[in-house]
Amino acid sequence: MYKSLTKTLGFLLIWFGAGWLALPFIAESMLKYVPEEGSVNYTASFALAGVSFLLSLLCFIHCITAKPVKIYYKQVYRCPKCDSEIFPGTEYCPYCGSFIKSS
Amino acid sequence: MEKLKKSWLLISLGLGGLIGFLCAWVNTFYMIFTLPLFFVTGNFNIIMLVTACIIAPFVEELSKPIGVYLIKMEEKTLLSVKNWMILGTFAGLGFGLMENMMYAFNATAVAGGEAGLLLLLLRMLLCLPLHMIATTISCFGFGLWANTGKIKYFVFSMLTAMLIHGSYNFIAYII
Repeated sequence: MYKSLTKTLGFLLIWFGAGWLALPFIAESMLKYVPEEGSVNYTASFALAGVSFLLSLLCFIHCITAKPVKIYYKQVYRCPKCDSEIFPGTEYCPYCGSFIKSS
Repeated sequence: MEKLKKSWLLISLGLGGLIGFLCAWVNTFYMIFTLPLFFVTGNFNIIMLVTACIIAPFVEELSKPIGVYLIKMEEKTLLSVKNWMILGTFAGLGFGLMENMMYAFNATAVAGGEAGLLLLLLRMLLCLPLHMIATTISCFGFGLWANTGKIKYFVFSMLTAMLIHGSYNFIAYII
């Protein structure tokens, strides 16, 4: 279950890291359109790209090595008439008012 | 568990986009809530900082998965945690694409087409995956909540998503 999350985050973090790598180069091109004086911080961008790639790697390692986590699903009861979620043992559906036979 | 329908992906993407469109316009109005800070400190930068790092992540992260909430409430569907998470990724994608387009249009109007395209490229590489990461995490928690009935999962994942979004905005502000 958590593997699906870390797998997705792993790919997204690679994309994000690529963005940090590209930031100073794109920002340098954009500076000519900005009236104020500005500077590009290469070190911070590359450091953040490194952090993103590292996190991505950790996500993939987790995805490969982690054992599946068991979650305890709640028991779902539904009204046979309107299909709304109801509490177990309810005699009348709070949504449509129909009588529910106890089984 | 039900299978993921393409229409649900479209609902998540489309409503995420609608929220992205609205947020691109109304972000400025969030500043109203921070005006007292300006009167106390006399510093306009503090307003920008609080709006970007606290108010915007709070509002955007809660509103991005609106399509996911709708599917849960209206379709009364039972999906796996993974599928709720995929819906969240699509909601973030829709939000990010629309927000990027709006910012690029504004930049084009102010500084010309090349500046607009550069901004679009930059936001596609940085802001789009950020929105997708944040909404993936919050909807993963939403899926856990939907399947276990324990709201703590959703609250925790939503706070994590807000923290990630706020931290990113803070770094982008100071860098």
